[in-house]
Amino acid sequence: MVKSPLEKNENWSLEIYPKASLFDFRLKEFWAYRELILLFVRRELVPTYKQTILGPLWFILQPLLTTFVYSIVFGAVARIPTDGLPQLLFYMPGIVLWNFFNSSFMKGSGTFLANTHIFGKVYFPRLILPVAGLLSSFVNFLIQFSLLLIIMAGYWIAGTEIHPGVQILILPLLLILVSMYSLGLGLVVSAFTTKYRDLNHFLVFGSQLLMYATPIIYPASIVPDKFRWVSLLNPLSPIFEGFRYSLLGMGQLMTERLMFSFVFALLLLISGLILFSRAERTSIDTV
Amino acid sequence: MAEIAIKVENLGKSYRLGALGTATLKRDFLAMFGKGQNKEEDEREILWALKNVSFDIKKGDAVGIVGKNGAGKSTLLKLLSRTTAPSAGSIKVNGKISSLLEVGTGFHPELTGRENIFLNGAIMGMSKRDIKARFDEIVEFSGVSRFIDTPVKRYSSGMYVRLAFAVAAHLETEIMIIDEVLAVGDIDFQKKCLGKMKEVTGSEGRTVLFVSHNMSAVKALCNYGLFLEKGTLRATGSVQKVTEAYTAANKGLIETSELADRTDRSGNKSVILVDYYAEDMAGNRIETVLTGEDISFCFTLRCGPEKAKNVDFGLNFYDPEEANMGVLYSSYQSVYFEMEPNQLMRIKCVVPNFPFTIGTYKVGTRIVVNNEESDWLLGGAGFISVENGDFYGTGSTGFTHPYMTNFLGRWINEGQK
Repeated sequence: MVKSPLEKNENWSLEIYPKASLFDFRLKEFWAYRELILLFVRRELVPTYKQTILGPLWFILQPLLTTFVYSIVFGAVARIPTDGLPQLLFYMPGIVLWNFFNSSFMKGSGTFLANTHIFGKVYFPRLILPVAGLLSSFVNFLIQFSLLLIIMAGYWIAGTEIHPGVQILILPLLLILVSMYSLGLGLVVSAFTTKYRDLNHFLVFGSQLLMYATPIIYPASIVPDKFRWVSLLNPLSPIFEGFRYSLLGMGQLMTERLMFSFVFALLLLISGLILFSRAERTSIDTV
Repeated sequence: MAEIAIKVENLGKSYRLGALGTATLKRDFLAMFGKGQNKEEDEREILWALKNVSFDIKKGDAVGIVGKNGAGKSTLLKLLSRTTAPSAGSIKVNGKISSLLEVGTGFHPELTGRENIFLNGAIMGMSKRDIKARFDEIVEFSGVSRFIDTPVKRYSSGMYVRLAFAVAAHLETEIMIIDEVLAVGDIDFQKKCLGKMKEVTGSEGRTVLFVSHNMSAVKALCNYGLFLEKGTLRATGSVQKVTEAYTAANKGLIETSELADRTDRSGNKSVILVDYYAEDMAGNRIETVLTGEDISFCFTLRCGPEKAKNVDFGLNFYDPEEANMGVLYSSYQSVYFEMEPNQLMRIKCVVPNFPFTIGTYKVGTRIVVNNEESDWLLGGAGFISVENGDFYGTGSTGFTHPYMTNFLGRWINEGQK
C-alpha cells in the first residue's frame, strides 16, 4: 500500500494486526503493568482469610493436617520408609513444596476459563494473572515454610539427627525451578483450555498422578528398579529430593538430573509463553 | 491537517460458526500439516462480523458509533479495546487508549471500596500514583465515602454502581472508548454520568469513541459519526449527517430478526409482529420519551399465507414488577386492519400526552384476528424509557414517583358559603 507523505512520519504508539510474531511476548508492556500484578496478588490473598476466625492460620493448619493424614496412611498403615527421618520432618517439606507448585500450576491453568468476564471487557497483558497466581502461591509458601523451619528447629533442639548446613544455599535455585515448572505448565494448559475444555477435567486427576510420581510421600531411594524410569523421566523428582536434602542434609542431590530439569524447565516456559501469547489474542472468542 | 489518533484499515473479524468439538481438533491437526479443508465448505462456516472497515479518527474528535444490534458495533469495540484480535486489516493508534465497556471490571466482593478502587483503576490502566492523586475526587463523586472501608459485598447495588462509575469517570487517557451501557443506576446518577461524559468529550485534545443506540445522546456528545450496518461501514462524517443516514435507513419496512425469530409467543400466527420501535413527532427513532410528550409506537406486521381481515392490535405497558399499567386495543376505538397474504404492513399508534412517569416500561403487544389470538409475544416487544417531563403544560413535573400514571383534571371552584 502506498503511504501518503503525511503518514510516513507517523509514529504509532500501538499497532494491531491479525498475526503476531512467534516470540513477541511483549515483556515491556508486561513490565509497565507491574503494579497490577501486586494488586491481583492482594485480590487473591486477602479474601481467602477474610471472615474466617483463624484467618491466615489456615495456611499453616492445612499442611499440618495433610502431614498428619500422610503420617497415618503412608507411615503408620502402609509403612513406607522415610529415610530414617521422623515422619513429620519427612513429609512436611514435600507437602509444603508441592502445595506451592500445585497452587501456582492450578491458578495458571485456570487463567482463561476463570477470567473470561474480565478479559471480555478490558485489555491488559494476560500474563499478569498466571504470574500473580505464582506470586500469591509463593506468599502462602513462605508462611508454610516458616512453620516448617520452626518445626525443624524444634526437632534439632530435641537432638534429632538432621544436618542443616551450607547445602541450604541451593534452596533459592530449587524454588526458581519449581516456579518455572508451575508457570510453564500452567501456561501450556491454559492455552489449550481455550479450545479444548477436556483438559480442565483431566487436570485434578493429572496433578494427583504427578504428585505420586514425585518423591513426596516416599524417598527416591526406595523406588524399585522396575519403576525407576518414571522417577528418571519426571523432572520434578530431583527438585523435591534436592529440597529435602538442602533443608535436612538427608536424601540425595542429583546434580546432573537437576541440570536436565533446568533445561527442560526453560523449554517448557518458553513453549508456554508462545502458546499463551497466541491463545490470549482470541481467547474470548472461544472460551 | 489535524493529527490522526486512530487509523483503521480494512479491518475484519470473522467467527467460525457451530460448536467447538472434535471437529476443531481434526481441523487444527489438518491445518498443522497444511491440509486445509475444502475452501468453499470453510467459507460457509465463517461469519464476518466486521468486514473491510476503514476510517481515520482525528485527535480531539468525539465520535459516535451507531448501528442496530448485530451491525458490528460491539465487535468493533472489542477490536479497538484489544480484548480480541482482528482477523484481517490493522488498527494503528497514537496515544494511550483505554476502554470503558463496563464499570467495575474486576471488583471483588470481599475487598473494601478503597481496595477495589485501586484494583479496578489499575485494571483499566491507571497508575497507582494517578489513582492516589484522584482518590478523594473519586470517593466524593461516588458518594459512598462513609463505606469506603467496607467490603463492597455489603453495598447496595446502587452504591456499587456509583463507586464503579466514579473510578471509570476519573480515568484520564488520550483516547477513550465508551459504551453507552455505562449510564446506569438511578436517574439522578444517570444525569451525573451523562454530564461527566459531556465534560470528558468536551475537554481539550481528548479523543472519545462513544457507542450508542440513543440518537439524542450521540448528537449531544459527539461531533463525528460512524454508521455500521451488517458489519460494514455505511456512512461516516459529521454527526448530523450520520444520525440522519441512520434514521433514514431505519424508515423502510424491515423485519428485525430479533423479533421475527423469537419463539416465546403464542397464537395461530395468521398475522405476527416482526418489528417494533418508537418515534417522536419528527420521525426520529427514540428510546426515551418525556412524560407529557407525544409519541408514536410503530409496529411492522407480517401476514401469513392467507388474507387477514379484522386485525385487532393491542398494546400495553408493564412496570418492572410485571404489573400491567394500561391496555389499548385498536378495537376499543373501533379500528381494525386488513392485510393481504404474505405482505408486510406498518401500523402506528400515536399516543398524545404520554401519561406514565419516570421508569422503563416493557411494551407488550397482542394481535387478534377474527377474535382469535394470532400473536402474543410473551416477553414483550420492547421497552420504552420515560423521563419526567412537562405533562401538565405548566412546567411542573408533578408527582415524580416512578411508575405512576398522570391524569389531567378540570378544576372548578363552586363557590364558598
